Amino acid sequence: MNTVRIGFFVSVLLSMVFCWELAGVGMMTCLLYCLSLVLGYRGGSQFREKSSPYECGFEPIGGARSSFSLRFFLLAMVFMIFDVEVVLLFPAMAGMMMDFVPVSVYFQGFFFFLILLLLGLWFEWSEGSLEWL
Amino acid sequence: MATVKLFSASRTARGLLRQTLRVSSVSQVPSRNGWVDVSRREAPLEAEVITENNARVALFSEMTKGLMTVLGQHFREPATINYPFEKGPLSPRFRGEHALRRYPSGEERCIACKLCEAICPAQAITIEAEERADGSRRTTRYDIDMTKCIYCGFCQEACPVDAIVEGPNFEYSTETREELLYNKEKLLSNGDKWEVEIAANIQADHLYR
Amino acid sequence: MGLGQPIADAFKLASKGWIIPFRSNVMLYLFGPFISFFISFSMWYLLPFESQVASFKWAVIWFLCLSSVNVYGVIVSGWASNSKYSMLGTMRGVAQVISYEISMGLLMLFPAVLGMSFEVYEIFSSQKWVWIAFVSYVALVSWSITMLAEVQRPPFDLAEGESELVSGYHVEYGGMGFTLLFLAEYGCLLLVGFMLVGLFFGALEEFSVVFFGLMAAWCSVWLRASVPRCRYDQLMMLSWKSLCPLGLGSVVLAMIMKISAGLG
Repeated sequence: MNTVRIGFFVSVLLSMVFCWELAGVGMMTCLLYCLSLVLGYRGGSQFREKSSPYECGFEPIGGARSSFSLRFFLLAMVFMIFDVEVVLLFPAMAGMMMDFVPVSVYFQGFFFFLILLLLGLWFEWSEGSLEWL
Repeated sequence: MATVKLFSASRTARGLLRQTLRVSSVSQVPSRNGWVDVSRREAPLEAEVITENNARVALFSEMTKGLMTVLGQHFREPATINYPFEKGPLSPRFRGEHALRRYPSGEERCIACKLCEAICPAQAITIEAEERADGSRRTTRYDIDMTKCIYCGFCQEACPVDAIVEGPNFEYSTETREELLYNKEKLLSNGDKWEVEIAANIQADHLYR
Repeated sequence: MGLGQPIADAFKLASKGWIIPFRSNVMLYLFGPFISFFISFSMWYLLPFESQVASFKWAVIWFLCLSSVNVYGVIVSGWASNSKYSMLGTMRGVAQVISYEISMGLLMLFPAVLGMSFEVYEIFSSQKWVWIAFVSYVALVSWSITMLAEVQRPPFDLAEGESELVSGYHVEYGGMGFTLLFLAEYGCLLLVGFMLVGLFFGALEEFSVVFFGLMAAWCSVWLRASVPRCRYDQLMMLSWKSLCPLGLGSVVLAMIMKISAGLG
């Protein structure tokens, strides 16, 4: 009981320290920003010409927030499917590492899963949603 | 030993055969339109060739070759020169800063014929002339706007007495624009300063002028 | 000598003036480099150095999560600056990074399964007898290529692509924004070098991790000097049609090795 309580305390302490370290990185970034705001202060006003978006010296033509090729969104959909499947692999591997079930038993299920993944890839391939040109 | 010989003989024979085949395959192509297909033939589907190709792809042999070339270049002497301290070679025809030359006697060469002013495509040259006390025709004003000048060298070509020249000097940047509006004194003093180099350049190039 | 040059350069960058592009989203524009920098240096916690307070049990997942979230730095900084070049660079960069995320996740499992752990130190130390690089050359090469594309280094720096998009998603950034974006990129590069050395060559002591990791990072600079940028469709095809199946194969290979070693 006592050891459990100590372990809990230690883990809380460690996670606090960890959070502090993360905060340290964030604070360092803010500090750099503030430094550059102080050092790089060039008077309050902004010139319209100077702050116009870079377009090789021309006046910007139209807005930048236009619609974009659908190819990229299709790719993002394919990515979503695959990434969810890859993420599903991780807890299963973790279970195997913690010796919940022998590896061979895992392997049967896993082999099935990976074959499904490969079939999915093959389907995307043959259907042509991976083609870029 | 005999087997080895036989093997190598068959190899060379095969190589020769392949060469002749390749030549004939290229030369047979000319068609009615008169064009010849010289694109690379596809490699024959032999186990040897396939293995070689796959090994080349898998072991990145071409990329390794390129990487090694870059690495070798790294240890060689750099091609860059340490500019303000070392300078690259200049041609005698190099067209740099302008100068007005004088005769060895000290008399200025320019006779105010205004050919340079006429030919200047950027209209950078302005000349005003008057008769001097001794009766010779000389300039009273000879201005070059160096910010307009395009360094084409036409003034130098047009000049009948080699008075206006473009010297070898290219390091005359200034901090204000006004300093680049050269007048006659500036040009004459340039001429005095660079006379040795300019004379040497004209001497070196005189055969071609 | 020029040894003081980088320091002077850093001060120069810090003292540069700010430009907020016309009609940009100011908050997001300022926040983009912050995200990139913060995430790339948060990833450094997974390295098993003694100065770190704790060793991650799930360091591999930490790496995967943060490198996925790292895309947001590119999205936010590119989209918010309201420039066409940065928009194009963002689109390219995002599609590239998410495509290579798949093969990264799969290939990350290869050393994890062989080392039977998600903790980086244990994976590093499990290679006492043989390096994982010797176990599978294919996994090593695929992992290196994936990581090069993941941190957008040449020959896969399509998001920057100086010749066609002036400098990609950070065209509009100058001064500290630019500095943070670049520090983030180079932080990621160094981390990736350390990970390569640890995961595939079993470097364990701090010195060898840092030294050989720096050598790996140097190799990426070497590659930058010698290899031209690849085409965008080639990049995507490499990810989906080569590295993805190879990653799946590597996972299966690792599982088979584990079973045949009788550890099941």
